Amino acid sequence: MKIVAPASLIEDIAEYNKLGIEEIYLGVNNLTEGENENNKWDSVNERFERGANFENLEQIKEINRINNLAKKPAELSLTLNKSFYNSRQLARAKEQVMIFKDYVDNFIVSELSIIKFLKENAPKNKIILSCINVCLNSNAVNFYKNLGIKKIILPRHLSIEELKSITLNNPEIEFEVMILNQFCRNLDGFCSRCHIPEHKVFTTTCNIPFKQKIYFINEEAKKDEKIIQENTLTILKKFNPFCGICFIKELEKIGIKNLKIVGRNNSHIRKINDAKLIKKTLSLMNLDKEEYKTKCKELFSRYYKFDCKNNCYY
Amino acid sequence: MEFGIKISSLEELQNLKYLDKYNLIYFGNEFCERKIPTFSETKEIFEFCIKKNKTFVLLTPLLTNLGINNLKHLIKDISEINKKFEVTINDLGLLEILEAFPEVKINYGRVLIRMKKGPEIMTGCLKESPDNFKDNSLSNPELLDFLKDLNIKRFETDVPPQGIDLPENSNITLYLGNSVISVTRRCIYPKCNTSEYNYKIEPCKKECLNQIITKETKYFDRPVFIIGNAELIKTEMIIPEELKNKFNRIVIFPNIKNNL
Repeated sequence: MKIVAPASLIEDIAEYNKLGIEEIYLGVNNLTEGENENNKWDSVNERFERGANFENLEQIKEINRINNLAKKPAELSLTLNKSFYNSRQLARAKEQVMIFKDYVDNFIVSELSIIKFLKENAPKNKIILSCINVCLNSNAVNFYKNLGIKKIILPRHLSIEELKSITLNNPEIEFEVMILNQFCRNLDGFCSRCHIPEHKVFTTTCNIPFKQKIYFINEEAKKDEKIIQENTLTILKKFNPFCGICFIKELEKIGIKNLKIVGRNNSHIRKINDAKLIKKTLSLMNLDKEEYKTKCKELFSRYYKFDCKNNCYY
Repeated sequence: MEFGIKISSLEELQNLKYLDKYNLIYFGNEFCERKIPTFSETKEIFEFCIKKNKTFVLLTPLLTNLGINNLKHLIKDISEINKKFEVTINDLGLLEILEAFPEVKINYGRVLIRMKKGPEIMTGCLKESPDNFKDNSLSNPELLDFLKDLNIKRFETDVPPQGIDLPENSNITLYLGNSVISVTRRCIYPKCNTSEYNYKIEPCKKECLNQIITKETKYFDRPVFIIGNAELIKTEMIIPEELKNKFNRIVIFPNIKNNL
């Protein structure tokens, strides 16, 4: 299985090369003069934060140069995965395609008009469908395959059985799933919420305190009010799935070939730590299923210094 | 101008006060494949529509392979009654299925029209003007052309509190009464009334039909309704002046419970 890891710093690249990471994905928010980090709505990918993006062609050229020094260079993928584009943002995305197509291998996209543009203007680059597009079934896979998509990143909101019914029906497409960090209760592509700025610089959240009320439609259900309140409140306020590493063996069995680590705006140390953890879990694939899960939980505690509490993606 | 109404049952349709005012009847679920209506429910409503000379519009949700298969059968069965109806899709996978039904008109659903529209936009907590949040998927003319080439005849959107920018010269439907702000497949309701609650994607008993949970905070200008696997806000039944001449169909969602 291949590891797909996030980069937002030049130093990430050489470290990933040392670890033998097969694919590195990154984004560019090329602000023009007079603009600042507040122009987040003009970002051409879903992460507008400055720390999550590179800023210019020189950096991408340098990444390309460093990567090519490696014994086995990683594939480089540029994200253009905003969920929608107005005309101005579309022009920016197209500009990025034309500027960067010779320095990256793949484009990770979500919007259909960008796919069309890539096919016409960057035919040598592979097109990867972002999870922001939300592909949940084999007919959708077929639809995207006919548009020239070579790999699809599936949302975390599919059970192993549902993933299996997609991957086994479509052996000619490569599939990727997310394996570490961040999980939104909503489907990534179907959430239209704006994260509310926190007082710290550049951080935003949708995890804000709220009052919860239950309105019963079926009066009989009212007898369970207390337990419904407790159960749902736990999820709405505290649930924070973090990873799917225990499921890597099962994912491999059903034909998943790529494991994506989320977190372009994480620190260099954190990103490398994440990649090392996934490398380590992949070295244990000869263990049986239960042993593997136990070992993964131990590794999780060792790498992150807290218990995972079975907060799983899958 | 066409007028439609979203209904949840035959009873609701039969008891509609101003049925004559509506040209179209919308039925089905936009968010959850477990709530795709049965053939017998759909047949009753479709036949009522035919009898009363109303266009039937089947609303469909995002779909896994299981949901696609169920809908394939439902669409085939109702097309045997009459081929003149519309399907509003919220999953592009359904396009392939609909190729076999060339007479069925395809509408592009509001879940697929991406936009920023949370209840935090109007309170000022984002420190940005609500006017900055009117762009959406339909703001991209190249996407519109692409979708029209796929035989999509109409685009259906709700109108969030900050308003919405819409293109001219396209068939646009406005849904009035609520706005969808998120959809999940990790629904909070399965087993929520038991001690085995585990918040996994598993079969459910449609526990969501028993209750609606709301969330309120000072950061929202109105409550968020967690209706099954979707979050919605109520919206005013008012059409902003700036949208004049940009739509040719209105669909009323009379009650937020209609989305269950």
